[in-house]
Amino acid sequence: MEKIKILLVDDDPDFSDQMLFYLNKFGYNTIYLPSQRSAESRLKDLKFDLAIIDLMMEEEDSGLQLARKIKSNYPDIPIILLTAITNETGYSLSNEFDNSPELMPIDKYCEKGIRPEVLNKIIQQLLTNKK
Amino acid sequence: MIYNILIVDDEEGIRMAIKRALEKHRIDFPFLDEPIKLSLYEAESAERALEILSDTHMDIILLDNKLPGMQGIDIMPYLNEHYPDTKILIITSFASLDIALEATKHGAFDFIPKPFTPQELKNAIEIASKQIYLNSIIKDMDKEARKIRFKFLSILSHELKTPITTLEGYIYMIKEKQLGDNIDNYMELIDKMLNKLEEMRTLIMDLLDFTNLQAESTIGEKELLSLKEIIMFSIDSQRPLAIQKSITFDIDIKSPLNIFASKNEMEILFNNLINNAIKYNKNNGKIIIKGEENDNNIIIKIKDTGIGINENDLPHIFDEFYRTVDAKSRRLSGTGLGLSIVKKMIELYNGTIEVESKVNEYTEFTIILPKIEDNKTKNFIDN
Repeated sequence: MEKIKILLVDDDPDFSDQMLFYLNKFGYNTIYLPSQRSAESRLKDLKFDLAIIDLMMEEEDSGLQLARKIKSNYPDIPIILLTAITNETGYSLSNEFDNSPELMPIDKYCEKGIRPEVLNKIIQQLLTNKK
Repeated sequence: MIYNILIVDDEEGIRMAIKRALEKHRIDFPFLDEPIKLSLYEAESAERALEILSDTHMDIILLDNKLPGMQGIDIMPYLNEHYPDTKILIITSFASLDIALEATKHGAFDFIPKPFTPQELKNAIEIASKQIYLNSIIKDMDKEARKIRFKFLSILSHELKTPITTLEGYIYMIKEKQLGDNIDNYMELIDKMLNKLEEMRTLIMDLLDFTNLQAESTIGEKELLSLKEIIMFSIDSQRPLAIQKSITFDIDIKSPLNIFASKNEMEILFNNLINNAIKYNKNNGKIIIKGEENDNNIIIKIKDTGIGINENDLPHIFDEFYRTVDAKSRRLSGTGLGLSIVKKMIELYNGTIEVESKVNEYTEFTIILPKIEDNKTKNFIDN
């Protein structure tokens, strides 16, 4: 069986290293890109089953901008948005998503620092829902 | 701009007289773009006044103390509590000390003793208006400052929390022996952790510089300095870093570039710029530093042959915590504060800094610092 392909977009190299390590360990094939710009420029020729994107990259909402572009090209691809924003503002984005899912092109929102096993469960769940 | 004025008096004659005096009156101050117009409202009793207040904001209330039913003074505590921005001018024919004290205690802005001339009335209204106007400006400024502070704090906590999350991730990897039982497998990871910690330390040092600059009060003790010496000293202190990347310096500074400035601040300034020129340079690269002066200014150019700055990033490089995509992806450590410190510092000395760059070729900063701030400095340098 062909390996599941995950697109990882995050501008923090150390955090990405850890993610790549675990995604690999969980048996996924990961394509890593370090910015919104680089991901957008390659979007047309990339094939992937799920995307994990950091919210704050070049801009404060780079992750959302990229997610919108992915959804308009590949509406069925599940997207996980990673952010540390709750920590900073004490304000949770996830509630916003839940209330107005049509506004947010995100399937699941996770805080950075989520334990890898938990993230893997979320990935599995999203992939199962997709089928 | 229009200020609303409520006239509270049971005598219709007085209300008419006040209306006539103020109706066409415009309040003008040199700092206003256009004069303030007055819109007048009337109430014959304190009860009626409260009704009007409940649906229209009043800037000024002209309040007769002697009213049928509730007295002017009786409603003062209520007005103060509910309409703290409204200025209350008490009109009273019994200008006794007792009433004055009582009204002041409850926050009356001023008194207008009856009988008054139209000019006396206008004067009182003008003083109150000026106060209202200035207060509203101060309020806006406070709001702006709070917004900036909040933004700064939220960015700051992001910058400090991100490395903590990363360190935590690495520690879990070790704890769970993700790379096996052999400790040697973890060396690369441990080095990364040490680098992260070093970054956090630098961030804290930069923050100290930065907050000092924000306060703008701690511009250090000034003395007569040679910027050439400062630059040479900074190069020497960072030479080990440059040697690691086989970077050479090409220095062309003919005069000592004397300036009256704080040594500590000039060191921070050039350490930052020279450190950037090394860090964002390529192996075997060059750093070209030129210094010259004319009658008024010292001009210093620091050019590297490095990775350059993308044009998308260029407008933001002096922003607090801004880091270019390239810098991050190349794993060059940095806090995103260095250049904003540099810029703030140069501005404190009324200088300018400009940047020119081409991706993969070069970045050049041009710093212009005024040599002499005032005659006192000039005398000092001349002697």
